[in-house]
Amino acid sequence: MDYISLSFFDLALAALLMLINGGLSIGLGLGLERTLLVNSLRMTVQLMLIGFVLKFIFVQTNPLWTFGLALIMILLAGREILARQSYRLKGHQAYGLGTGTLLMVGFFCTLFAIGLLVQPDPWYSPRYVLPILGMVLGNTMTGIGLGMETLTTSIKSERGVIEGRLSLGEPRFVALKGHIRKAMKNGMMPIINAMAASGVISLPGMMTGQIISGVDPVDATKYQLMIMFLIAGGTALGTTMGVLGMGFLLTDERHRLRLDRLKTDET
Amino acid sequence: MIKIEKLENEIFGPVDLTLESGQGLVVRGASGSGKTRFMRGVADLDETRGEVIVDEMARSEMSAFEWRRLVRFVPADSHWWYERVGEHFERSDGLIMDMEQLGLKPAQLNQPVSELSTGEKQRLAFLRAIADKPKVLLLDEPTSALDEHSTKGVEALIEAEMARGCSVLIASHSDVQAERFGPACLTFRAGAAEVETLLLSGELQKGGAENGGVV
Repeated sequence: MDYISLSFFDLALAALLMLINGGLSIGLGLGLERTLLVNSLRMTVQLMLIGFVLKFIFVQTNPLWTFGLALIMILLAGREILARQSYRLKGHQAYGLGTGTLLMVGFFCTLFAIGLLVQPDPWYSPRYVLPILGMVLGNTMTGIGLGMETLTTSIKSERGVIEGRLSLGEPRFVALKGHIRKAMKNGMMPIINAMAASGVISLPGMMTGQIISGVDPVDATKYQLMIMFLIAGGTALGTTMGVLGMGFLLTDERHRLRLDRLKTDET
Repeated sequence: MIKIEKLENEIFGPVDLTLESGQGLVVRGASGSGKTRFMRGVADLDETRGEVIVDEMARSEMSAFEWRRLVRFVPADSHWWYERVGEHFERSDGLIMDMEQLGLKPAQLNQPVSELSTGEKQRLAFLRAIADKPKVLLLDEPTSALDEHSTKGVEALIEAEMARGCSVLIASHSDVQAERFGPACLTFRAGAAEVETLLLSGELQKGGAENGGVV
């Protein structure tokens, strides 16, 4: 494929644009200089690193390398979900719920795409598996985190209402129905909105990348559509599992509200 | 009949108590002494050790939501989840009559909950709690937001519930209420519970009433 490779000199030129951010920050007293510097360095190091890691893994023939990196990606995405929660569960469930959900959704979506749609040879080809998993994780993570966050905060603020309904003899998931519905809606809204905007307001990154690297625009569009459907399905699945799981953990088998299972300090 | 056996948790107890059908008992004690937590515990809203039996049915052998259809806890501050009052009720002739007895207008069922006063909400929450005729009522300061007139109305309805066979526990700071539903009362002091008798002098004497079977 014919595409124009960027030199490190090109990158350095692009990085000069960060001077605009820095200048603004100093000029307007935003106090962001340090954060800007740290975050752009962090981004550069992370991306370069993953570039070299991928390059290394692509030449390996053993699928264990692919699975190993996939697992690390899932664990890191799980940590990201946890970091976005205002109220966390006590113990290992805090990390386990989000990560377990990502594990199932990530595997399901990636295997679905690899096994039924793309069908690369060999099937575990890292060139396909890892980018697809990455895109699925990046987006479902947002939905799961947002859904769980909405549920815990609304349960915490409406404790009286929920216990009022439980007192009248409603089973726990009936008493929580409205809260669960709101949380799932919040979790799924970003991807639903992205579907409406894509192509008109924004050209999705993956499609852009494929077009630049010389792929036929219609082919690139097809890939992007597949990914969007995967992400939408994965987000729906993951948000449902994450929200229901959180509802399950914040109540018990005697249909009591168990806010004592949340850590008390706000983070 | 409700039989409470060695009910306790970190906050209160142990409490042993038997109330016959149709019997009422006032639960007394300073704020923070464990009255509310005790009632929540009976309704299984908080974790407790011990057993509670209603008409031969043991709590431990029932699902918790079925239990709460028999044993109804009504908190002092009412909570509402639909926009309009009426959505929380199944309309019936009995409900309309009870509303009128409490000085509420049937048209208020169409009102948004946010327009109600605290006292109106408290009366309506009581009606909501007795609508499906539970066997035991656990009322946490049921008249705390009410004037004298409405208080009498609610007390009359509590007596009507007792007349149909409901056992009623009423947490109250009011001596008048304690007299009306006494003379026996369950007094909490820093979580420890004791059955006492309210004397005419207003003092409390250890031990239950001779009549009434409060143990």
